[in-house]
Amino acid sequence: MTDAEMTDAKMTDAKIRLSGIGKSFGAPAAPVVAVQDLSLDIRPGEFLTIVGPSGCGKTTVLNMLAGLETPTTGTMTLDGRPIRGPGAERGVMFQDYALFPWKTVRGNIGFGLVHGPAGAGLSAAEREERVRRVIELVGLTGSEEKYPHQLSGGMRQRVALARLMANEPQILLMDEPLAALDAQTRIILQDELLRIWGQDKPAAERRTVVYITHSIDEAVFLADRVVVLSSHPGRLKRIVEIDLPRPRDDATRLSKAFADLCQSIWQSIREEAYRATMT
Amino acid sequence: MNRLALKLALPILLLLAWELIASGSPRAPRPSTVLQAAVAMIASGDLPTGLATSLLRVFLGFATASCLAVPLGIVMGSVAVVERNLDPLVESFRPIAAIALLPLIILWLGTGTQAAVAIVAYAAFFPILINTIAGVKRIEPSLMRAAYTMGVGTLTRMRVVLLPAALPAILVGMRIGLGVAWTAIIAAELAVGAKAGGQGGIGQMMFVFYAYSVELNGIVVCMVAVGIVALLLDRALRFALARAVPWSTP
Repeated sequence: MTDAEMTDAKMTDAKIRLSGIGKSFGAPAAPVVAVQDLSLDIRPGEFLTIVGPSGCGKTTVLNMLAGLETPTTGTMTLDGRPIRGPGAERGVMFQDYALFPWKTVRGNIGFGLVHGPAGAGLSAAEREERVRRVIELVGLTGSEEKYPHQLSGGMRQRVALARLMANEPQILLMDEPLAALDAQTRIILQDELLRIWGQDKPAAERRTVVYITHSIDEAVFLADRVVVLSSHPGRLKRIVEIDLPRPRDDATRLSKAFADLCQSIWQSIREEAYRATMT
Repeated sequence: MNRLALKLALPILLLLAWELIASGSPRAPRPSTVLQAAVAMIASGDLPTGLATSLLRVFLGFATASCLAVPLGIVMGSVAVVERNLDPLVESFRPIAAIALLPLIILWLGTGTQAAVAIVAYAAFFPILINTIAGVKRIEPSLMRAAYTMGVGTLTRMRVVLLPAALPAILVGMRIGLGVAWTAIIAAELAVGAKAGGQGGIGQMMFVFYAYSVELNGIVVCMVAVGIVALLLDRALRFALARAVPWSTP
């Protein structure tokens, strides 16, 4: 990065900048517009959640940030440089976790370190140490040699999170990581997610997170800002600053401020959500 | 104990019935005469060497088929253009039984091991290819994407994600291919004709019994041996597969 770009990124205070992003699928003659004219600055170290009714293109936005899909219009930059394809500085956690069934917990978590650029320059011992540390961090100690099919949904989710953390990406892109879990496990893992992200640490030490969810209370509980999208096509509807104090815990979930924020966001998408459900 | 007795009752009854019915005709093979022939053929070493010759041909042909079909299947399964262009060719050769190639193969390669290996390779090639293609196509796309987003390069992705993800299907194809190969070798050897003793394969031994010595007991011994070897091959391969891909047997 040149100095000029560095200053630029600092001035705008954006880690990732989306300008006029659009994405259409299908034949050019009759395109299906998934995302339209989305402009958004994602700040360094912030926990940004994206909510919206089904059909709002949330997953498409995440896939574009991951470099798995290319926008039809507009530009995306990371630290001022255009995003072209995937990069190890952006880690992705998929909705179905995408664990390798032939690898043990340890093998899955170390995958990026062994085969990807994340492990470049690390000795075998350092890699092992890193894997051991994240296994401890997500509470999987004792299950290192198990295969994914031997694990519960919550444990698989931890493996996916640990694999993401082991690569130490600057930016974590997460696509409904808790959607497949039951309500109790979700609450526990939301708390853990915030701890692992570093809500007790100073903001400068946190990683940037872009988190897709269809659950409004989850979005509010986790986020610094909630991006609300509307559907068909996916467009930016609102950005809601979540000024709930950190660290957040069960008291946060019970507070009036939390309920008010959830209600406010629900009001802005309820009409479309009903329409999506009823038709 | 009782269940074992029950399981054995029917086969024993059938053998007894066979012995009784066949005892009227002096040339008909009976369990007792077949057993005698088997003991003699094992003692002389003919049966073991015949089986060994056939098995060696099967393994050579099977290995050749695997080396060709697995890489081709991976390319066909992952590159749509290649599959579109090769699929008609594959599908037009696939219904042609290996044995139908025999006249050409004999003219080109003679009647020795080379010809036998070619027949076996042809027979085993298709099940391995078809299963490899299907296995590669069925891979969960998010697995490849996950490796892609971790910055893993294309060739490494093929080696460390695509290959292991398709491995269970590839191994199933190899198991079917080995069974087909064993069937094909007997048919091919029978058609090629005589080669006495253990020099030829088991099929060629059968041909001698049929065309020259008219030794019906020997033919039955060969048939039983072929069946037992087929069963053992399949069980051995199943055992090996379960250990090779422990993750796919939940």
